[in-house]
Amino acid sequence: MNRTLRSVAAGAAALTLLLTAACGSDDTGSGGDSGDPLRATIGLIGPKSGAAQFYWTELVRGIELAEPEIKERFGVTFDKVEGDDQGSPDVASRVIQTMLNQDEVDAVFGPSQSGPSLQVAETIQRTGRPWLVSIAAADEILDPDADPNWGFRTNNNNSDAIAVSGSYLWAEPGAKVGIFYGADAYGQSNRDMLAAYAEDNDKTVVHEEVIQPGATDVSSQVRKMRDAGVDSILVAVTTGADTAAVSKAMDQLGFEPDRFLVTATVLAGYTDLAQPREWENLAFIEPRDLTGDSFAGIAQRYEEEYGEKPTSAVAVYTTYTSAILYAQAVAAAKDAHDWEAVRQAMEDTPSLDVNGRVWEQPFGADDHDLYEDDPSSWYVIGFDPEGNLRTIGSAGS
Amino acid sequence: MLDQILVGAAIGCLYALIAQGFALTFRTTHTMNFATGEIGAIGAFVALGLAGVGWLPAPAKLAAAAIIVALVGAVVFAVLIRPFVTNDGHDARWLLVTVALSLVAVDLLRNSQGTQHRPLDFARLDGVLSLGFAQVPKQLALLAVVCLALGIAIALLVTRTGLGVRMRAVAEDTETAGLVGIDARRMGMLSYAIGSAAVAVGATLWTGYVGVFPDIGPLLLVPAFAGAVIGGLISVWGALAGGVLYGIAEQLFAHWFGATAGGVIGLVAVVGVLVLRPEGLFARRVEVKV
Amino acid sequence: MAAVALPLARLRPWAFPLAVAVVALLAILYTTDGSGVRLSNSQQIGQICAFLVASVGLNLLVGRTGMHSFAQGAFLAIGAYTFVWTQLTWDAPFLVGMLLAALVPALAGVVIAVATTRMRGPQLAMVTLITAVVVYKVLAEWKPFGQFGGYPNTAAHGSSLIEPPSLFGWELQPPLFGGTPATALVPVIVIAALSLLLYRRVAGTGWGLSLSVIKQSELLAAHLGVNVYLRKVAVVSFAAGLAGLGGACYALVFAHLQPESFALMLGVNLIVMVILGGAGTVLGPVIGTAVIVYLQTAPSVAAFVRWENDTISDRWYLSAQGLIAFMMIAVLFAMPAGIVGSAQRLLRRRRPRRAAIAPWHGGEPAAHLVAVAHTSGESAELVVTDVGLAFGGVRAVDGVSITVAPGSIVAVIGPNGAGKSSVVNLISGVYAGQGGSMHLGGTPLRGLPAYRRARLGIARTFQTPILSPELTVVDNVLVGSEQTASMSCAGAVSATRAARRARERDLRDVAAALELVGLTEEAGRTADELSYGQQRLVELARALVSRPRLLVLDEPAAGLNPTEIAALALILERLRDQGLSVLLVEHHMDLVRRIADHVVCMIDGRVAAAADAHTVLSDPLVVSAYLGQGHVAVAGGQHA
Repeated sequence: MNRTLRSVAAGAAALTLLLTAACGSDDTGSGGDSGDPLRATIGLIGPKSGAAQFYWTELVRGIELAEPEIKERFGVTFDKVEGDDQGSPDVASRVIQTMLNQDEVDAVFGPSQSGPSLQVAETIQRTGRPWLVSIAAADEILDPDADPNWGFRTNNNNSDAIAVSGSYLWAEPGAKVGIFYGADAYGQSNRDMLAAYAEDNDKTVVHEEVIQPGATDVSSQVRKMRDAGVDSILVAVTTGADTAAVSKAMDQLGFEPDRFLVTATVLAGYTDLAQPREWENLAFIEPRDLTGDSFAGIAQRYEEEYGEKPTSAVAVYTTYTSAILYAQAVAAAKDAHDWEAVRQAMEDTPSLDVNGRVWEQPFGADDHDLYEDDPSSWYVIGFDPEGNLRTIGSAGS
Repeated sequence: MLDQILVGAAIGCLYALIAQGFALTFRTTHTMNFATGEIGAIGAFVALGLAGVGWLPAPAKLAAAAIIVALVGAVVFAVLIRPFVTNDGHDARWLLVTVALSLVAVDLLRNSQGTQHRPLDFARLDGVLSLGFAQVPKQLALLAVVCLALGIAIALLVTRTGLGVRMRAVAEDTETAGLVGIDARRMGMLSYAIGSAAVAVGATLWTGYVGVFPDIGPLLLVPAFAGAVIGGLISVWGALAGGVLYGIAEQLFAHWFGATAGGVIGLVAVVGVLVLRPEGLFARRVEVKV
Repeated sequence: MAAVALPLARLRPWAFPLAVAVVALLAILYTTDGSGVRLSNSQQIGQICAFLVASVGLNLLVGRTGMHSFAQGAFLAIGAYTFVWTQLTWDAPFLVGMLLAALVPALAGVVIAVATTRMRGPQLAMVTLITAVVVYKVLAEWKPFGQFGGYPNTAAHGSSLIEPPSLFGWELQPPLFGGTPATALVPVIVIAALSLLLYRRVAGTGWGLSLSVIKQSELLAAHLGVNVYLRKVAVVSFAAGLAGLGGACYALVFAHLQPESFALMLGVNLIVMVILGGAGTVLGPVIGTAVIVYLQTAPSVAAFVRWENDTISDRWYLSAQGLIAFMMIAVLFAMPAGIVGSAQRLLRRRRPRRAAIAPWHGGEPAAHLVAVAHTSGESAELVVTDVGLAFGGVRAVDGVSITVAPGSIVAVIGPNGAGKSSVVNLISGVYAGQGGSMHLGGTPLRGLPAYRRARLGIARTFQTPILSPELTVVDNVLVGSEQTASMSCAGAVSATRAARRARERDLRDVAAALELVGLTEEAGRTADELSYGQQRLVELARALVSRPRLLVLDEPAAGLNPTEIAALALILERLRDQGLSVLLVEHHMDLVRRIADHVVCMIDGRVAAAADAHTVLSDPLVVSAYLGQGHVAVAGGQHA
């Protein structure tokens, strides 16, 4: 028995090694110098394996969904080079080098997460390649001082979201605002932004509580939040499950603040894990009208194409947006391989139309964020008792 | 404060049950399964798969998941761990095999099931149980009661029955045990089966509260391991007490010092216990033999 | 022919350093060429080197000392953050930064080592696990280190990369930008190569050998005169320092730190690297680190995953991390000693290793060994007066007095459970005991720990031999020499002329001891290849090279055949004739009758009779004690 096992294991080991050696490197991209100037080699990098795989899935699918439209409107086609950063910054750093220097991609889409993005940001900026930051939201990814700036973000950044959230949270004069934030990159960033916003606007954040990702019970934190007299709270955690932990504890303790604001991460599975009575008062703000035609249309096409609901419809939409933005610039520059021209064309984009939603002159030399922090262009969104999205109104009112 | 102690104790019961699995397998085979959290995740996903079987009552679904996972545990021991069972305390290959197994399992679960939290549609209790002086979510109360009952049952099985004696005999002296007809391999498989089944039940009830997802391993491994170590590693009662103790301490420290500092202080407290009593709180020191 | 062979033989010791230097030079030439195409590989080489420095340190812990630590990744992180901190906050010179990056984790290592002295196995694993988790949490949550924004980050430091440090006027550029030669990799590769050479040197010294002894048995180590506590503190701290240095290398390669990179997984990966490559081997960590770092992003692995998706399922498949873990399991089954370790075993089976020792040519070896012993001390008389020992109310030893005069063999006999071994353990320092007094050559022993007694000249063997199975006979004997006990970590690192001479002297002692016990032929074999009788003789030889003044043997004849016993008797007589004091616990009455000058019979913890062998063995009390216990060995013959 033991001997058989050992030989089987030896065989498996040998096979693994053999495959490793034999497969060789057969996945080099087609390179940046293919004949057709409108045929762009793009590099997609994200956590294909790891604990946040859906960000990879949505990145790939967001591009795939946009491809027919891109071909039709701009005559641009993509050759895709895939890179798995495994959610790890140092792996991302190596993958990006291969993409930039060996595959010579014409543009980089991703990494999907902030940590790997921060690790590679400077490398991409200095190497000089059109860079589409379509999902990661940490502000520091796009260095405002970079000149020229190669990065373009088609998601809102954290500070914009917080600026709008702030105006919502402090809408009532004398509102006592508190924040639950996750002990991760997203939570920390939101906490810092809210503190900065408060300082700029002469407000104070009355109370702060940390939520450990995956915590079973957060009643202690919720109790302290309630005891601090907070009546307007922001929950900035990464998963719907963590939001559910907070709302569950609020429900148990009968804590009903006037304003219960969460962030768009609530879309990932929250309503599956919470009870309708917990989300009656819950809202989040979004620069996209999630029930409007532009956004919902793409979510619907996603369902038709892949037979399931997107885990993060926002990531799909923002990636779709980035693909359109990039392809339009390629068409304008008339050559995907003239990276500087493409970059300039993106910066000079006269008008961007994403499935009916139109941005006029969205970028400038020192503005590479698609979304602005003007509350009137943002939406307040919540769930109905069935768990479907409902748009409550504009964040500006 | 009382609420926090109760909630901590309830979560601690889950840690305790898993810690007991560590103690059980360690005293029988001198090995522990570091893929225990992933075993629990497998149990939760099996239960999730059974959720659609409408005619099966919830306890039966739990039992079915437990049995399937028990088989997985026994096979894991027989195939992957048993070849590395030695008396050499420095041969840690079993540890690496189980760590590697946890990575394989979590990778497979992530790829096949997705990384999202999914609701378990049965064995879920909504609402809060009020005890007058304190209150605790019903689901956590259920978790505590089931885990504690299982833990006590297993501890009695191990300390009061002939089967437990035979398991212990294997641990003390495999050769002599073999001479009197005790099959070390079967005893090892049995201990792993019992440990795994217990973990599956506990983890499933817990995911009824927080959702089913592949990455539950790290959330359970460190607390349960801590419980087992401060409990004394070979004592099944000690592991139970250690797990509950760690659960309460974790919750209280988080309450007093905040979630981040509290977590760190809880872990440092475990180190403190070990520095003062390396043999754990509930086991006697073993004299060196020359 | 001989003229050619001689220089080659002289070059032999340099072959390994030379090979390392050549490989390092090639790596440097490859990586500093500045072309963009090589950046990814250069980064990979840099990362391999950074991890290699840390895993070489971990190899000392896991492979040599048998301490499985998950904390090595945490020490690496501390080193990396320390280095970046020195660069950001006070723009420290490069070398100062490196030094601090090694020192700070080394100090943290001291703390961990002191806290874990009494722990073993799972407890130790728990504490190192906690260390890894806590360090990660602190880095991820502590504001000055940028949290998840990274260190450095644009918000707080204006850039997400550290300024390239300069060394002797050279700017050390990270392997990040095409067209810029990755000069930072020069120190990184050099440090990796040096750490490999350092490991090789340290592992071969007395200090390094003592680690293997600690792994095998801390008790044995103490009886060889090793201060186990201090040595463990030293090795943990040394390993942590190397990890810190590796961390600084990591910071040089990436020029930016994200806390995600230093989660618990890094510590797990480092252990996997060491064991996969071959724990305790010199090249193991190199292979392990290179294989794992390479496979993480290998195109072939990506291709294999695609193949899985196409032919098996796009849901039930393993991605890179899972595949690496699967391979790890397969390697553990197929190559139990790791890739390098198993390959070495295979080679050795084909071509047995030659003894690294010149055979003894110096007359009577016993004279050499004992003469050495006599120069170091005056009289070596052991006087034990009225000592006692109780285990929870049971008096195992009660008022026992024994004297061993120089140049005599004293045998302690008695039925099982009479307390004979306890007496030996009292003398060698395993137990503290109660009452009475013990002196060796006038020096009081009471209150001294085992290692101090060993240094005073008490050497002993054990009832069941304790040897390091993977070490050669020479090494197993060599650990008995004084250098094992007294060499410091610094002494192991620096190669002084005096140390080399001391080693040559020790090797001569080993050769003499092997000649005396008749194992010269087996010098190059590993301990696990020897017969039981031979293993006992290796133990005896090990005890002799410590230049003992008193030799304590615990049932040396147990398990030997009559020929071997006769040989043993001869050896002991030769040693006595040179003036060595020998205390012998023995069941084997033939042996006792033949060699003992004085016999002490113990019954129920007390001395029942003490006189010459003939008198004691015919004492009716002694006879009845043996017969009453169901033993019939008095008349001689084999005894179990």
